[in-house]
Amino acid sequence: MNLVGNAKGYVVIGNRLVGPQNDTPNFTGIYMVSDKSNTRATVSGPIQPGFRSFSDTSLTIKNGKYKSTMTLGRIVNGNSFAIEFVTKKKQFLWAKKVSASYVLNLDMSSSKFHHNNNVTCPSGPTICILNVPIDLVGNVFNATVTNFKSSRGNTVGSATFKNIQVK
Amino acid sequence: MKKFLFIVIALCCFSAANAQIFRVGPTAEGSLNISNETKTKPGFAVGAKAEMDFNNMERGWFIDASVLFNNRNRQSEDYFNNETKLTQHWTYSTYSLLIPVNMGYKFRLSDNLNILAAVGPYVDLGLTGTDKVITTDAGGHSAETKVLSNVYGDKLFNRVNFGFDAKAGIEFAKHYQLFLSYSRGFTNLFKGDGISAKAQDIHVRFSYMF
Repeated sequence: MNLVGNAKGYVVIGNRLVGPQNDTPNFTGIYMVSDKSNTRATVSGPIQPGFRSFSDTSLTIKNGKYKSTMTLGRIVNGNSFAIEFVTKKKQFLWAKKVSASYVLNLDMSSSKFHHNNNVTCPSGPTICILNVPIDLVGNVFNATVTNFKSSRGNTVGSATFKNIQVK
Repeated sequence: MKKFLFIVIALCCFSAANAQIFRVGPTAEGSLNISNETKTKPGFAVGAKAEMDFNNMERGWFIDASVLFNNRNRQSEDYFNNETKLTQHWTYSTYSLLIPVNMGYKFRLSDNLNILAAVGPYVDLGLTGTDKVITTDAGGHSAETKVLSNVYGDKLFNRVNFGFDAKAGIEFAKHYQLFLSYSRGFTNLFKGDGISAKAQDIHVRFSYMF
């Protein structure tokens, strides 16, 4: 028996062309982050990863004087999605950046990938690298953020972003 | 007629030479890096400055140029890896030769006080610099690793940078100058297309002009 397939999921079985019955992603694994701290040294590049945000992928929650914003994006020197977190405190004339820790649930789905992840970012860092390769997800995807919370208040935010273009 | 022209030209040259005042002196500055993609960090520069006043020392147009041994310190944002739970940031400490050339105007306020404002280009020639990465684990233990010992030689940073400089300040007691200046680079600090970061600094410069 010979099996010949194409990118759309059609395969040739004998003299017949058989297509998928449901248009669902063929990878629906749930990616969970290990709770254990990893103390092994990582191989660091000579330059910071950098961050590039995607268009219209920000979610802001307000907690009194504090405004916390998460933005979906990618690292520039590397191949992974990332999230930028910023919290600003309203001062007399300006907004001052303050540190905060963050938690959220991120669901990413594209035609070839489905990913669900609990993201936890401790106080201090502003960019959280997700370790999800760009090429695994593809250039267009949808994302749903739920239970976005910062340590600067109790407000919970959720949002859905459709057709995000990877830059 | 030829004699007359010669006398006129000679007189013009003489009067122009008399009007121009040339001064030199040491200069030192403290600076604050405010470029994007990096955190605010202090730096310093020391060197010599030359100034030429076209009319007189108290008011009028002037041009100045400095040669400064320049230290800049830059630190990246903190990056947290959601899988390894490690937080990392990169620090770049660079040494270069900074040469700003400014043209400006002096306003006389009193016998001992002038206000100055000037703008002009600068060129920054990289000499050497280190690149370190600081890794902190979930327990708060940090480890520092030197990644590169010469960021210019190892082609991480562009060796030649251009930009512009704008400054305003005061000159008091005829010899002392204090400037607050802002400079912005036109060229990318890092080589390659990855991170777009241009130098951007605020300086406080103090000079003594002989």
